Amino acid sequence: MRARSPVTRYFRNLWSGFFTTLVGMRITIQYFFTKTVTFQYPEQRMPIAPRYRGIHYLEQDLCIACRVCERACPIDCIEIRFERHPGSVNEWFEFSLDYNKCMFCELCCHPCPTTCIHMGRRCALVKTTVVSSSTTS
Amino acid sequence: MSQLHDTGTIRPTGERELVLDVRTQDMEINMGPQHPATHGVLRVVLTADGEVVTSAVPYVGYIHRCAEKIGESVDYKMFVPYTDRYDYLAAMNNNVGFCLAVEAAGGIEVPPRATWLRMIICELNRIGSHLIAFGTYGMDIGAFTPFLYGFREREWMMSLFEKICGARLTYSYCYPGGVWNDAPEGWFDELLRFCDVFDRKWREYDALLTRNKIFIERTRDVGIVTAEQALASGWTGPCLRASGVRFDLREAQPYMFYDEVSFDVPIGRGEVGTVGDCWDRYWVRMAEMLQCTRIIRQCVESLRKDTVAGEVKTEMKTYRVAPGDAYVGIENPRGELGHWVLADGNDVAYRLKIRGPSFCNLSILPEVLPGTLIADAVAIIGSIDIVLGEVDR
Amino acid sequence: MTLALAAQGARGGLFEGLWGMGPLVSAILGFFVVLGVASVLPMFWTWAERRVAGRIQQRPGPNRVGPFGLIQALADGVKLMVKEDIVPADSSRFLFMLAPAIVLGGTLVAFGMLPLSPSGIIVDTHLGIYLIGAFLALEAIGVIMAGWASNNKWSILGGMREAAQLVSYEVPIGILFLMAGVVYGSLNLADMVHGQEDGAFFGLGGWLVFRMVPFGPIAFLVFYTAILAESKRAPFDLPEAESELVSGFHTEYSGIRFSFFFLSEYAAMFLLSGIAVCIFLGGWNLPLVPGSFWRDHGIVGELLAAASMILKSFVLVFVMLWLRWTLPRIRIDQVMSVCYKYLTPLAFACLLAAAFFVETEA
Repeated sequence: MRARSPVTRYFRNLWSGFFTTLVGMRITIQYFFTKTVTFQYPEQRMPIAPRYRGIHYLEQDLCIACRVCERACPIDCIEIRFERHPGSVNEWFEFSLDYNKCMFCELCCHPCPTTCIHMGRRCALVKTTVVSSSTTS
Repeated sequence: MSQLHDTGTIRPTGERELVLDVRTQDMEINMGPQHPATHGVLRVVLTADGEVVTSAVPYVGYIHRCAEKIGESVDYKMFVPYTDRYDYLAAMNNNVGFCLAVEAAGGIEVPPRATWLRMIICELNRIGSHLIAFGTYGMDIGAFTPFLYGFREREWMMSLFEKICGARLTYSYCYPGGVWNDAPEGWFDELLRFCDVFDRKWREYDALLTRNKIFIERTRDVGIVTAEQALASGWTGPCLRASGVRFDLREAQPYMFYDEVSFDVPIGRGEVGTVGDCWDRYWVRMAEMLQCTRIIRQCVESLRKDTVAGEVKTEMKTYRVAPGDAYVGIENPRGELGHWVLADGNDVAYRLKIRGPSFCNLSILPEVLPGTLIADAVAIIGSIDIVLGEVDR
Repeated sequence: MTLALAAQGARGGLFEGLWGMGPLVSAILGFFVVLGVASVLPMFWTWAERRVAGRIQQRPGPNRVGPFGLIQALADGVKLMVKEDIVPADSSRFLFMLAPAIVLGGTLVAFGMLPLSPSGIIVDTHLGIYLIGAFLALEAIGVIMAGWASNNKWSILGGMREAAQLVSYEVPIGILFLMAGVVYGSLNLADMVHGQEDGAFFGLGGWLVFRMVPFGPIAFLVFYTAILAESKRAPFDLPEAESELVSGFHTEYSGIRFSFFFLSEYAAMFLLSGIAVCIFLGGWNLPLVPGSFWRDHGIVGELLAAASMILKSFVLVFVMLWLRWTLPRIRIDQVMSVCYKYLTPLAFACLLAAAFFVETEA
């Protein structure tokens, strides 16, 4: 890379500065004429993989309020309020998931005995209209 | 008032470095925590004489999140999502590092197919992490476009991860005892396609940034770290190798099946300047990306042999680890990421110690920065490629 | 002083000859024309810059506001105007507010001396390019003022870098102006364009960039590099290096004052490209078109000349954008060494060669 004589070095510097610039410019101008690779978000959306760990959904009939998911959650973001029915399954009346805390690790879904809590493929909580939204499912 | 003054250093070109000594009041500048070049919330207090840095003191801890303490209060599998979050650019490597440590402490068996899968995702994640290093380094030097080209390929890598584990950044894919799920149908074909395309694009990066005259002039002979200095500050990973020390945990103490695949360990040779300058550190990362695709191809080949077919899923059970301890260090994209797990027979670690490479690599800043220009300071910080999430943990 | 010189050297402006207006009316009209052109075109270039950057990076760039996002620049302008005008508490208020005006003012005045067509020049002086250079140099003062008055350390560094860079790069530019003077025997830009009419090779041979090979092309490249630095474009965008100096001298500026800096940068880009076109690329002359064409067809010829001139400048501006999204930024000491070790000697070589060629041809 390094030329011996200062004079050669001078001209080589000049030349390589000029030449590598041209090489770079050739690469960038090639992309100038190619198609874009981005998605125009609200109209186009990226395909979401089948395994995507998005916002949970709960099969409400199946849930027996056993609180296994509550205990499995590393960050304690699930809170189930329920009524105890001795001898029968518990009946829950509030199942709240705090999405300020949730880190979408899916650890709550694995231990569920009735496989009623799943991670859905929805990934955005934003809405285009202002409605009263709650994170309670 | 002003006089020529010999700094005593001799430039690699053989010239003595002379500076015109005009004394002005030194200026104390706060670089960060909100500065575009500090890659997160690093704060470096620079004392500058004009444009020349005379001293630098890094302050860390702005995003300290008690990762180690959390590791001592939640059980082993519950800590995995937290490992994603310290070095968020290499979450897979963190997952694997932690799981290996737990498995070593508890003597947990891992099916070979899971190990091969772990190797693939580690290397894939290494590519992703180095792409960020490449892109942000270009941006530190002032070239914006390589950053987006790097992200273009990284996007594909992330969608590969999305297909296999369901997340794009915080993967939580490996759990003690295996991996979360086997690769879906057609995933390996897409992976191999990615490797082929990536190798082609890599040549483009090489021509666009690596061989650019301005880039070379900006990075050669800047921030030279000798092998002694690097070892003394506990450097590991690409930074250490750039200083000419051939030390790669994958080669030095092979974990998983790294002894069964062949790959080169690129080390800094001072190709355009001095060994251990910023260009070398950058170049080692670039060269490593090619080795990553090489390893991935070999892993996929091994995976496709029938002998390793079978279940890879963990049962996601809560392991009770018998009293004992284990330290496992793995080669994270930034260096040696070590987890030391001290178990007391419970399902929660009694003590978890994390050895982060970025934190150790960062410690050289006060030594290297003085005497450089502010623009060089940015180049040096960028070339060390720190992730602040992991510095502060 | 310079104004007095300008008045002395004035040969009459665009409107003075047209409808027999007095110099004052002509000056006022010219002022409005310059203000209009020099503030609308940069808006278009901010759009073009983002669009080019987008295309190069395989993304669409602004495409929401209006067709192809063309109105985006207008939307940004309105946004900047209605934004709160923040003056930092510890800044020197007067200088802080004055600086953007000086920066923009210098560029706008210089804009009035760029000929767009044979008689389309607002202020036509014998001093020509040197007067333009003098007014462009005002920018350095404004930028140092901005950097100093902001009371921000990054701003000061940016201002100082700018001062060093602009003053240095005026050296090769000045030498090449001399070379142009030697070749054309005039410092007036319109005269230079006339000097490039009707050359060999379908008219291309008259353009300075194709004359005195290899010195003509080298002089053009040196000049182009120097105007890149003069208009603070990458790879010489050190004064506002965002990854080093946050935003350089305009870190503390917001709202309309911030947009002044931007307008001035883009106006200077076009202005300097225009000068390069006039000196090296034959001005409005096109291959196969005789030089008398532009003068003989009245207002149509003038408009076509202006279109050709603007188009050529656009090409140079486009290359500036293209370069910006390709190259890394160079370091402050390298900025100096590029200027004094490479560009200045080359410019001198071109000047000597030009003198030699002119002497032998005569």
